[in-house]
Amino acid sequence: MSVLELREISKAYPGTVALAGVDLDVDAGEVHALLGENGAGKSTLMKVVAGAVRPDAGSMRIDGREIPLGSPAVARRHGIGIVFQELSLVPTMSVGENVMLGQWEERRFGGVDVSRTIGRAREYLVRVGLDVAPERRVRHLGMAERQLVEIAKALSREVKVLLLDEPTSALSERESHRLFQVVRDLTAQNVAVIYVSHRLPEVLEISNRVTVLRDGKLVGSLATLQASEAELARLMVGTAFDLNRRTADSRRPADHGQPVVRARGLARPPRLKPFDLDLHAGEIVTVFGLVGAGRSRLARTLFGIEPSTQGSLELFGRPAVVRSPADAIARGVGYVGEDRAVGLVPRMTVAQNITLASLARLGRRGLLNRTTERELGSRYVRELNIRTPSLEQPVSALSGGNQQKILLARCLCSGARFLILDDPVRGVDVGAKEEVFRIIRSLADDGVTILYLTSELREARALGHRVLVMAGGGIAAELPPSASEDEIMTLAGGARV
Amino acid sequence: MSDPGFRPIADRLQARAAKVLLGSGGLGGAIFILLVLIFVFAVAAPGFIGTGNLLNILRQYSVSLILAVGQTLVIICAGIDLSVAAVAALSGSVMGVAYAHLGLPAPVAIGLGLASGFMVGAFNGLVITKWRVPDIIATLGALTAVRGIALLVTGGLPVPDFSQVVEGRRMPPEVTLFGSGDVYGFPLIIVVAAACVLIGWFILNRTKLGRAIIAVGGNREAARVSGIDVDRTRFWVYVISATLAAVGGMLLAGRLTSANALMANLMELDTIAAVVIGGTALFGGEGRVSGTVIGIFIIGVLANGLNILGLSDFWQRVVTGLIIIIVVAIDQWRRRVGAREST
Repeated sequence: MSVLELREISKAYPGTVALAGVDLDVDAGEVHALLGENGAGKSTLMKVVAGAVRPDAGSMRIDGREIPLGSPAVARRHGIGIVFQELSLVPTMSVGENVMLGQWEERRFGGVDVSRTIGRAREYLVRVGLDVAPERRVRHLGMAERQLVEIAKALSREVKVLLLDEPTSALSERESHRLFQVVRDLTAQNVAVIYVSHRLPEVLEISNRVTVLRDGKLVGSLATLQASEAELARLMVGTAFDLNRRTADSRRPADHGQPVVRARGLARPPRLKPFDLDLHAGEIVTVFGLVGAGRSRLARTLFGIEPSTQGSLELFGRPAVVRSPADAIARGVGYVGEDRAVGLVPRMTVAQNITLASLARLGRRGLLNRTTERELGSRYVRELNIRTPSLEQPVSALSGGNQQKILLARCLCSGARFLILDDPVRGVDVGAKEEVFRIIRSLADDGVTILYLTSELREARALGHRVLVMAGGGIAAELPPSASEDEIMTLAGGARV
Repeated sequence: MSDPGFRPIADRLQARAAKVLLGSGGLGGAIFILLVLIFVFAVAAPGFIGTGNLLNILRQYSVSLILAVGQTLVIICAGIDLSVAAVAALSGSVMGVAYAHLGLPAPVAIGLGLASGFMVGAFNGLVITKWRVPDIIATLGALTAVRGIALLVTGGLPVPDFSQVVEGRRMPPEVTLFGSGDVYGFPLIIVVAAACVLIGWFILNRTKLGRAIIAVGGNREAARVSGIDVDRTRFWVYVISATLAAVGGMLLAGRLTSANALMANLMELDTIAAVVIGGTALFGGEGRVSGTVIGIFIIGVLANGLNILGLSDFWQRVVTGLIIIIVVAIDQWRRRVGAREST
């Protein structure tokens, strides 16, 4: 019997229909995957269930009882728990306090009994298999652990339906499997899990049923056992395409000539150990590493966010000292980080965000030439096929994939010829991901050098002319993309404690 | 209406007006309140409507407006400047002492007044960006210290002080002219304030510095990874704020033909209220100078109207305070509704 029933949910925003009469039935104890491209309506549907968005029409029942829509408090009271992609923990509080946030054990006169609160949290931490002292501050935890804390927090309230929004987007494969185990344990306890993800293989692995949305409509709902990856991809995108397509790439570009990027012993100890790096024009080099391997540190050091403290760097044949992002940008380096929220100015418009790293190009002296700004903006919106109603749209209103393209556009607009892309398609769905890959490949064909850092093995192998493996804060090995997954995994995990 | 060029322009104007009035961060709420206030006072307070009184309001609040323009830029940059009123008092005093007591030429006295503001702004900027003191603490400290310096400069006496004054001097004639003179009955101080508003608007919307200010206020980390010099941007925003405050302070001295270390008392609070009433987000990244103008109008109309109604000063404070809260509450509510409809 369905624990959650949604009927005819519709929601329109100015200019777009986010949801058009969507039905959804979720059974107790099942994992129900929700698939769809950017803007397909997944997030809106999740927000409707969680009460964060009030739909224009439709109804929701939990255990057969109709629930008023549009109130997070009501949804929570009826057993809806949600873990958003952007985690909502208080970093300065302990793990235990976060798990029990708002449900503290009280003392007399309104005091909080911290030790008893933390004690109660222990139970939920055990349920999610998180082996961390509940007294530890959340800010010391990694993304994977925070995710589990977030789930434990959802469990701490009587949860019948748990919504997980892209829960593995920040996790390595190993951590993902741990999460799956947690999800299975929960369903064994009769909790229903709605699982939003863009990763088809993991959807196939974890879910019992899959519902696919496209353009706000339900295009298919099927038992996972009867679904194949290709079929799901076809449903999502509307046309058939091969997920594993290797474009006419893998041929490594002629690497004669000087390297464009040449690092010798560059380091920022103790977290980033000395490394050498030679990258050539038109080359895509992927860096694979598990969470904590130092991938992002490598990227941030090369871009000057966490400047190197030793070693030397040459960019485009000239010695370069990169002490700040401004230095890096001035030398033709671009960077897209793993966290879109860090890169974008949400209330600024599409055009303003695209040109933000190119203020020097926007007119003479200190003045701003708004015509140039519009021209540059519309040029990159066109070139990268950014879907936006207008250049004046605040970027916060765009989907994740399009936001990521705006960050790419910003790099290109600033004239970058060496792009550092740190997990740029995290939380982006299949269609948009393919599109970003296509853009990356065509940039490389134009001679742009690309360093692509990822925790997804498939991406690392499919995209790179070479694969660098990171472990323990250093580059452990360099492999051809033809290397086996096992081999890469072993190297990536080998130096890990 | 057969002119083919007319429709598109009219449509664009209309769309633009709608955006300014109703769009997120628009002025709708504040303008509405302002109109309501004007209507209420027009009906209830005899003599409120009339060019004389309305010009009087503008004249009285010109100095606050000039300070509030700087405050707008600071707040959009996710900062706050509590020292503006103290800087105004310092600059007015420095100029007055230099001109009336020391007998320096008017341009030099005015230059010294401006320089004193500039230096306080630069000091604020350095303390905030180099010593990493939070904006509110840095400028709170500056507020106290600057009032102290102004007291030292004036010896705690009003300027000009007749025991020290040189050859019957009061304030530089230029400053007196712009502060209290008028052209065909129109106060010049309003013209200066309007010019300052335009300068603030221009910096914010038409310069790279303005773009950097909005970016730094909207997402400091994003600005940094975009190669924007965050510290430099914040430094200049405090310099601009303090320099505008200096202009305001000297005009105030001109309007009163006198200056003292404690003038413009608590005016910083008016400027912050005006900025927030005008729809600028207190946490930065969003706002407009025109909103601040409306904000100052609301504060000015309220004080003036309540005065004509004969409300005691005690009650005026209560009403003004509550109305500031209500305006911002309405604005927040409007934004919530707007956000629900557009995301």
